[in-house]
Amino acid sequence: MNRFVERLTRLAIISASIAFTGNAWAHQPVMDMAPRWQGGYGFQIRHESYGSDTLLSDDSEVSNPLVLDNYVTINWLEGIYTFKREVRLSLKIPYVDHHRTVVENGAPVKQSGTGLGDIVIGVPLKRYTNEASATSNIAFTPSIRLPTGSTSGDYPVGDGSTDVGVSFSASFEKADLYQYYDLFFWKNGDGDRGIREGDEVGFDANIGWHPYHDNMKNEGVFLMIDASLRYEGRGQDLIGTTGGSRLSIGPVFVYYRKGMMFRAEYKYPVYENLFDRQVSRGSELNVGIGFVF
Amino acid sequence: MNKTITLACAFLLISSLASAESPEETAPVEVKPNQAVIQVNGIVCSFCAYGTEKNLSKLTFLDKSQFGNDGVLMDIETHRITLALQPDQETDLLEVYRAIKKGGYDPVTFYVNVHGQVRKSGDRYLLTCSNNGQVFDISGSVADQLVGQGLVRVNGQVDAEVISTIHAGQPIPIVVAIDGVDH
Repeated sequence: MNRFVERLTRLAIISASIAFTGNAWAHQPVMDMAPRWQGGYGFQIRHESYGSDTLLSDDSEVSNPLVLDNYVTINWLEGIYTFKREVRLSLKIPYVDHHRTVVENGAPVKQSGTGLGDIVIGVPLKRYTNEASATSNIAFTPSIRLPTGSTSGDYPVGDGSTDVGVSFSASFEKADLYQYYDLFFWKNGDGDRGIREGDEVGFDANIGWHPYHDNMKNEGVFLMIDASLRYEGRGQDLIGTTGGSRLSIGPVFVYYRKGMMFRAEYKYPVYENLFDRQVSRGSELNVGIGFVF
Repeated sequence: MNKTITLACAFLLISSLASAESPEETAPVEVKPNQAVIQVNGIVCSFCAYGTEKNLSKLTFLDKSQFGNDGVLMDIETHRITLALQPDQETDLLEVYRAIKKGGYDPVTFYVNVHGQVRKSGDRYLLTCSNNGQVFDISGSVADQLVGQGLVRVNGQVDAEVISTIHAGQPIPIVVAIDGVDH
C-alpha cells in the first residue's frame, strides 16, 4: 500500500507540474476528513478572495495604462451531512462581492456586483479502506450548480446557467501525513445575456505533514502544500473572452481541536495562460473555520 | 519555472516523511486496571475520528472524569483507543464495537484487564470480576492453573470479530497469555 501511495504521490506531482484556472472551490469537499461517521453533520464558513491589476495576453504580462483590474471576494456558507460513511450530501452557498475596472469608449469604468451567488449541491460517494496504520478513501462526487445568483447589473454575480460537475478524488492518511487528490470536470451551460462560461477541468493535490498532535486535548496542526491545476475553455462574459489555464501553488495551515477545524491557504499563480487579453486571477487567499457534530 | 520545481521537490520531501513506521505503532499494549484498550484500523487523525470519540463518550459504563472528561483517549500514533471504565459497571464490548464501526473505523482487537476469581464450569474456565460480577470465558494455556488461585489480575484479549458475534448476557471470551496474570 505504501508503495502504491508513493507512486500515486509522484504521479500527481508530475501531473501538477505539467499544466492547468477557473471557478475554484466549487467542486472541493466541504471537509474531506470529517464527518465520516454515520449521522455526522457540520458546517463551514470560508472567506475566499483573489484578484489583480495584472493584464495578460496569453501568458505574457502586457502594459496596463488604464489599470484594468478585477477583485473578487466570496464568503461561503457550507454544510455537510453524512448518511453513512459512504454517502454524504454537501451544500455550498456563496455570497459574492466583486468589482473590476473595464474599458468603455476608451476610458476606464468601474463595475461592481454583490449578492447571493450560484449554490452548489454535491453528493460525495466514498469508499473507505482502513489499514493498521493508515486510512484512505476514493470518492466519486456528482454536483450541480444552480443559477441562484442574479444576472442583472454591469458585473453580475451569477451567469444564469445550470452547470453539472463530477469529481474523482482520493485521499490517503497516516498519523504524520495527509494526501488528497481530486480530478474534476464542470460542464457549464449557456447563461443569460450572452454569458457562456467554458467547460472546466482541473486537478488539485494537497500534501500535508502532521507535525503536532496532542492525544489528550484532541488538538493538532497540519502543514500542507496545495497545487491547483485548471483549464477553462474559451467563453464569453459581458465584457469579453473568458477562460485559459493556470497552475497555482501555495501553503496551507490547518489547526483542529476536537470538532473544530481552521484552515488558511494562500495560492500563488506560478503559471497562467489566458485566452486573448484578460486580467490575471492573481494570488488567492482562503480562510475558513468549520465545525462537525 | 524554478519555483515550480522547488515546490515539486517540497512535495516529494513531505511524501517521503510518511514511509517510516513509528516505534509507538509496535509498542506492546499495556492495559491498566479499570481500562480497556482497542486496537483500531484507520485511526490516524483525531479530527477525523471525532465522531467515534463522541459515540464512545455516550456509553454509560465509562468513567467520564478521565481523559478530558469523556473517558475516551485516542492515540493516533499507536492507533489505539483507551477507555476509562467505571469499576462497578459491566463493560459492554459489543456496544464499544458498534460505536467504533458507526464512527467509520474498524476495531481489530480488544484488550481487557480484569481482577477476579477463576472457576471451572464444565469444560470452560469462567473469570468473575470482583468489582461488578461480569463474567469472562477465558482460554489459553494458563487458564486451568488459575482455578482455585483466589483473586488474580488477568490481562486478556479478544478479536473484534468475536465481539461482533456475542449475545447479550453471554460471557466475553478472552484469551490469556502466559505472562498475562498477576497474582
